[in-house]
Amino acid sequence: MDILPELRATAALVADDMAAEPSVERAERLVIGFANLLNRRLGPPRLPAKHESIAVTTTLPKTAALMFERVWDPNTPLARGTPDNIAIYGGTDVEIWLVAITLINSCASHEVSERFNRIVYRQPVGPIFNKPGSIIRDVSEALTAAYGARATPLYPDAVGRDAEYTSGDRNVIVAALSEFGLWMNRP
Amino acid sequence: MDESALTWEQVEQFRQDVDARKHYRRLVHWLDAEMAGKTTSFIADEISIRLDNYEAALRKHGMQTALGSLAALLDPGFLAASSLAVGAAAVSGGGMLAAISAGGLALARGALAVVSKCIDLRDEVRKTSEIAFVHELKVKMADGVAG
Repeated sequence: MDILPELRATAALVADDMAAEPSVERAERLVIGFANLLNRRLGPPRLPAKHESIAVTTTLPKTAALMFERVWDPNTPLARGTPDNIAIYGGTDVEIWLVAITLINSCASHEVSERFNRIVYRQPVGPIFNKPGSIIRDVSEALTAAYGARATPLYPDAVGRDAEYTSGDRNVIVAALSEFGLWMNRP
Repeated sequence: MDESALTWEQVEQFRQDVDARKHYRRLVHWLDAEMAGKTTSFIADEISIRLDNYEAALRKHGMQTALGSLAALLDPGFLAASSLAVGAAAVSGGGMLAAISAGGLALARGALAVVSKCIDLRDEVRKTSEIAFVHELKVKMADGVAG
């Protein structure tokens, strides 16, 4: 059964509630309620084998799958369609919160979304993300902490480009190939 | 590499390719051995240069293989010797059998020339083989998108 419509409808209700200048406490209650619903509906974690390499990315899942054995994908709510033999999902609080926030943002107006993000990222609400740009690193660290998995955050932008290569650091490989690809495709 | 142009089917096919996996391990080994401490931009430049060299070596390999077999078959001295052999065999009553022998000699000599040139060029390709994975990605993904 496709649970996406139900989750989107709930996310839209949360977004409506957020429109009325919520307090930090109210925002926390709304997100926790939605995260709990997600936790029940996302199902059990899909974990990799111990030796498998994992990429965490929100923008380059297919490129990552060329170089990593598994790619993080919480499946239905983000609907990226990563094949079952590649997708992993750890069911950690950070992952559930990320999915909850992504879904709520996708249903809220730009103005509400901005207000909501200010509350979520700057207040001690739920499992705190380090900062908005660090979400994929937070998910990687959560997977490593919970399961001892070798999870690598893949940065698609300047953060990755500025990195230095250290032994086994596949993030830099993907970043280098992405950068390389920009002019590889020039006519 | 264009993420939006990739399909999961292409990705799955590439993941099942044994050679691609082997080439990937070689790429990572090269990065670990020679690129530690280098920036992503530097690595991207290095990949570009090595890919150019690798593809030039592959092209040269293909051209010289073709030219090598042609040159060997058209070598004037060799052709004259072959004609003499056929003529002598025909005079002595060898006929068709002699012509076949001469043809076989020509093929063998052509093959030898090709093999010796291939050995020279294989070394040239091997020098940049750490980049074979990138070349395969480029070719296979481009083929898949086009096809």
